Amino acid sequence: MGHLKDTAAIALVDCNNFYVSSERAFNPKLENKPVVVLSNNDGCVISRSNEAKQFIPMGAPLFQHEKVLEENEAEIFSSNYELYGDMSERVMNSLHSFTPEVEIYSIDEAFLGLQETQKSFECIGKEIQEKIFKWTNIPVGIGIAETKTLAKIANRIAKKSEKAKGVLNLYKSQYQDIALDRTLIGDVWGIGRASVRKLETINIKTALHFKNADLRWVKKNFTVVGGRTLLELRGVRCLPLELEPPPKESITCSRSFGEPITEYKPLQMAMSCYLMNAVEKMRYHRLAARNLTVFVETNRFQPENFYSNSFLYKSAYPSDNLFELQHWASHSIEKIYRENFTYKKAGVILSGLIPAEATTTRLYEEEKQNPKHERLNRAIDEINKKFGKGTVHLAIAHTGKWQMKRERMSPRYTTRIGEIMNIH
Amino acid sequence: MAVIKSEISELFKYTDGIRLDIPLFASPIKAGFPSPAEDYIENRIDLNRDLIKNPDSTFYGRAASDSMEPLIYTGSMLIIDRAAETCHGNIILAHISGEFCMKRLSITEKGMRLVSENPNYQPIRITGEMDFSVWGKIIHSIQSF
Repeated sequence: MGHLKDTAAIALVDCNNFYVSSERAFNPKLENKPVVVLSNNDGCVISRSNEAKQFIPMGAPLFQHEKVLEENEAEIFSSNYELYGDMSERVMNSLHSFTPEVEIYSIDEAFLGLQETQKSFECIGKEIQEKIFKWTNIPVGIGIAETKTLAKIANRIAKKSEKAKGVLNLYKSQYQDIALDRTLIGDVWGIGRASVRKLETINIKTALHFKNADLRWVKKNFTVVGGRTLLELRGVRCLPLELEPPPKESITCSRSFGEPITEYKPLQMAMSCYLMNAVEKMRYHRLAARNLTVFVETNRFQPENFYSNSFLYKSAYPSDNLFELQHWASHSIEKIYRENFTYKKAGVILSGLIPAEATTTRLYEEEKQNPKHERLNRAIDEINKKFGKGTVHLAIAHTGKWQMKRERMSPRYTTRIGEIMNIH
Repeated sequence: MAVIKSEISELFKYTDGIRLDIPLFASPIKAGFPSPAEDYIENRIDLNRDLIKNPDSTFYGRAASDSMEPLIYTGSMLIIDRAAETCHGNIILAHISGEFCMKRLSITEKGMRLVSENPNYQPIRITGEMDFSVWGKIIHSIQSF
């Protein structure tokens, strides 16, 4: 655990209904109204305002709930990942002003390591909440406790309880067991659905029941992972903060098509666009790939005409050159494309990643790279960074109908100069 | 290929964010004479660094009305800092009853008012029952010609 031995408490900071809150940050008309944000291709509801939670379940497919959304005058948005990504970065950067110990856990959650100071943890929690809202307009809930698992529970209650107003400190608190008693076993971090069924049959229904279970018995029946969760509930820190993100092992870009594809050409175009996306990410992390996988899939819900296949291209040397990687991808698609199928989804995976500067010199003349390519690649990176994704792309990746459906997207207020807020 | 190459070298120069460059040396230094400016080398002016104190709380908007003319012209780009404290006399981005507006904040013994620079617009008196909040402080307005 290294320098973490000084960390007294762990705080979980979680943005409330993050996608909806990002929309509201730039659109005050959405306050106090039911608002939902849809997944890729406008398929399902993936973020709901508290008002919307009253009548629509998480993950509900749009087409099944259009009527109830209309009846409740809900505002519906396609996912605006450019905006959510930028707002997330702002929230996470702001957290760094409180402590250097920040583990970004997901787009809208972070664990913080807190040291003991003059101020109470509850007071620090309130300060974090206030500052994040002041700076970014995003409301957050904060749970503080000895361990990550307990911090998760504190956070859950902080968001639900009227009295907590979004901040709950359970660190060395006399209310810890009461909180655990009010938490269903299924809501404990790390306890899966299968375990819940198993535990309920022997009357372990709450987090408190589980905490008081026999450790040896838990380890035997729920492996070392279950044992760790039990210890964390008892305040023993088993899951340290992961301050440095683990090195990426692969980069994937895959999407469902807005409209199904049958022909070879549009499939190749779509794949090329995904490749550009993946390569952009890879180059940002200064990595090069040795392997490239392409995969295609038809509609899973039509088993009578289902086809799914992938091809792994293994290269002798790693590459971060878009033109070369496009070559590998084209070669691979040819291998797996079959006529008379209706493709619903495709993707590209770059793997075997190593730092780009560590790539070895190529021995044979035919493997040598055109030095102009690296300059061209860099220029593409820079232009797309400045003017937005896809400004410059391979001619083959020309956008078409297969692109993600985002019919109800709000402006990209913070990443596109042409879409900034209009002020009267 | 030749065309692409020359265009690219041009583009590189402009991709480092907004930057106003003031050259340190007008010409390459010849051997023998040490530059008299050597002791005065400083960083170049960088508007991103000098105008924006806190990038994580800074947002951009565009003036879409003449209500603040002649201070802010329609079409100007506004730089808004949510972290900056606001007080009497500041130019703010406020939202009233679901609408965004740019106004001068006036706090006197008579109460709080939002004042337009343009006399054609009436000041707005803020009352307790109004849905009102300060979104951020407008710290710069950039007008292009």
